[in-house]
Amino acid sequence: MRASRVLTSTGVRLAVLQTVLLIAVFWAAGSMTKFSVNLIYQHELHTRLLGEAAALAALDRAKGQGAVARAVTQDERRPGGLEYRLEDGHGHGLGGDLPPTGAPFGFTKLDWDDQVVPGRPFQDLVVYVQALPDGSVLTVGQDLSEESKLRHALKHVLFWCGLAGAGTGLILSVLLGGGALRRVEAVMAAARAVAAGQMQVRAPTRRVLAPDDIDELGATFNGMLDEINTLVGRLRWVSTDIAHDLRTPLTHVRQKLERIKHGAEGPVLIACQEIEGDIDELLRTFDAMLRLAEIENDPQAAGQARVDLAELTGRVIDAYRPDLEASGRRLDAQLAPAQIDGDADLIAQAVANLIENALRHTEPGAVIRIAVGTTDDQAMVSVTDNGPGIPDEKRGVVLERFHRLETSRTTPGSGLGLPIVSAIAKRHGASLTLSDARPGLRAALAFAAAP
Amino acid sequence: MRALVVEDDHQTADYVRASLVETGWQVDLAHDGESALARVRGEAFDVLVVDRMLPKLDGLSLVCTLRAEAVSTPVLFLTAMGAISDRVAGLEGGGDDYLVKPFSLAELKARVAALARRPAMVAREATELQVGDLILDRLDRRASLDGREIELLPLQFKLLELLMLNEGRVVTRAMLLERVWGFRFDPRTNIVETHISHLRGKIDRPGQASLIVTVRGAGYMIRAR
Repeated sequence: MRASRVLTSTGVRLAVLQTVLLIAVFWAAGSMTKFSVNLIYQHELHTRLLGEAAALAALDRAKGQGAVARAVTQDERRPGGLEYRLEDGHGHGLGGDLPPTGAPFGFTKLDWDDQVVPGRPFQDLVVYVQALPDGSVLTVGQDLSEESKLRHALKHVLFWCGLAGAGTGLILSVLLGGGALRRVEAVMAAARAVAAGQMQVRAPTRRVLAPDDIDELGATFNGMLDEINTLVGRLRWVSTDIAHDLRTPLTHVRQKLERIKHGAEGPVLIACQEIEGDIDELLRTFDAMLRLAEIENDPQAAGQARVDLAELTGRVIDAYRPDLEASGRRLDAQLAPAQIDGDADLIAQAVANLIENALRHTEPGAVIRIAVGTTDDQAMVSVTDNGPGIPDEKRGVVLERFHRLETSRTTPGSGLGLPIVSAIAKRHGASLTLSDARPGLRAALAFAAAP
Repeated sequence: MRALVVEDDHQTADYVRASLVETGWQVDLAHDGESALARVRGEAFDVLVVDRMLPKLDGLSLVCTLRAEAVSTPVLFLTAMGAISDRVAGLEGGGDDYLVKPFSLAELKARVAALARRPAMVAREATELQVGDLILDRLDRRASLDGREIELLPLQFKLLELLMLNEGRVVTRAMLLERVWGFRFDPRTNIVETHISHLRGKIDRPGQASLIVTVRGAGYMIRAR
C-alpha cells in the first residue's frame, strides 16, 4: 500500500472524521459543564456575600461600628473566611484587610492583577458594597483564586480526557480501518487481475462465525465471477456447437460438389465453382462472427509475446502491396522500430483489416500511408487514406458489428472488419482512433510500448 | 503408406478415405476415440487424421494419451472447432497440423502428404537442399543455380526452402501463408501468386519450363525437370 493510497482510503478518512467528531462533542460537553459550574458557583457566592452583609448590618444596628470592625477582623483570620473593608463616609478605613476598591454599591467583579496586600495576594475578587445604618460603607468580598484553581483543574481534566479519548479512538479506528482497508484492497486486487484476463483469480475469503460486509462483498464478487465463468464456458460451448452444427453439413455440401465437379465440364463446372465461392463467403462471415465473439469473450484467445510491430506490419503490407499497386493505388510505408507485447496473429489480423478497409473504400489512384512508430510510451500503427473518409457522426457506429456505411449490402465485406480491429485493440488494452485525414480516414492503433 | 482416419461422421470419414485411397494411401477407419486408441496401440500407421469431437474418448484426449505413451505418429486434426484457443490446444496437445472443416480435398491431401514425410527427419535437418541444379544452403542462407549464386530476399528464401523441403509434393496456398508469412487468415490478395512469380523469375532459365509447378486448385510444387 502506498502512502497516498492510505490517505485517500475510506478507512482512514472515516477514522479522521470520527476523531474530529469525538473532539467536538467532548469540547461541547466540557463547555457546558464549565458554564453550569460557573452559574452554580456564582449563585452560591452571591447568597453568601448577601447573607454576610445582612448579618453585619444587623450587628451594626445592634452594637455599633466598633463591633462590626472587630467582627470582620476576626472573621478574616478564619481559614476560608471572606475579605472585608469597613470605611467611614469619607473613605477612611475602619477595619478589614481589603484595600479601597472604588466599587459602587452592589455586586462588582474586580480584576486586580498583582495588588499586594501585606500577607495575601488578591487577584480576582467579587465584592458586595453596602451602606451600613450608621453611615459607614461595608465591602464584603470573596477571593476567586480558589474558584480559578478549581476551574483550571476542571479544564485540565477535560483536556487530557479528551486527548486520550481522541487518540485512542484514532488509533483504534486506524487499526480496525486498516484491517478493513487491507481486505478491501485484496478484493480490488482480485478485480484488477480478473479485468486483466486472469479469470481464475478470486477474492480472499475468511472462515468466520459472523461475516461482516467486506466478507459479503468478497463472497458476492466471487459469486459473480463464478457466474461469468459459467457463462463464458457456456458461450464457448455454444460457439463450438454452432461451429460443429454448421460446418458438418457444409463439409457434406463441399464433398458432394467436389464429386459433381469431378468429370463435369462447361456450365455445370462453372456453377459448381460459383457455389464453392458462395460457401467460402458464407464461411468467412461465419468465421469472422465466431472470431469476434471469441476475441471479445474468451480470455484464452490472446497469446502474449514480444512483437516487433514494424516487422509484422511490413509482412502484412507485403501481402497487400501487389494488389494495391495493381489496382493503381499507391502505398507509402514508414516503419520505425516499435516493440509491443501481445498476440502476433491477432495484431496481424487487425493491421490487415485496416488495410483492407482502406483498399475497399478508396478509388484507384488513392494513396494509402501506413506508419509505425513510437511516441513516448506508446507504439503506434496507423493507416491513412485519402478517400471519402467517414463523417464525424458515423465514426462511432462503424465499430459496431455489421454496420456498413452503404445502405445496400451488395459490396463485398462482412461488416465485421473494424469491429474485429476494435475487439483486438480492447483485448490488448490498446486504443483504436478513427480521425479525419482531410481528406480521407486515419485509423490508428496505439499500444503500450514494451519496456 | 497407412493412414488411420478417426471420424464419427461416416459421410466425411468415407469421403476422406476415398480421396486418400485415390492418392495411393491404405486407409483404415475408426469411429470413436476408444477403438482408435486400441488400433494405434496394436498396429503401425504413418499418419493419423483425427476429429476433435469424438464419442467415448475425444480427439484431444486420444492424442494426449498416445503422446504420453511415446507414440510419435504424425497427427492431423480435422475439426469443426476453429477457434484460436482450440487450435492452440490441439497443437500443444500433440497435434502436428490442424485443418478446419469444411476443407477442400486438395488441402487435406497436401497436408497429409506433408505430415507423412515427417519421420524422415533427414530432409528437415539437412543443411543443403537440392532440386535439379538448384542448391539451397540452409546454413549460409544462400541459393545457387549451376554454381551461380542467386540473390534472394529473406522471404523468397523461406518460400523456396518450404517448397524444396516438400519436393515433389503439393504445398497449398494456406500452408504457404501459415508457414512463410505467419498468417492464420487469408488476406485474399495475390500475395502468394506474386511472390511465386518473382521467385520463378530468379530461379528459372529463360525458355525452359519452371521448376515451380502450379497445381490447379491445389497449390504449388517444386520438382526437377
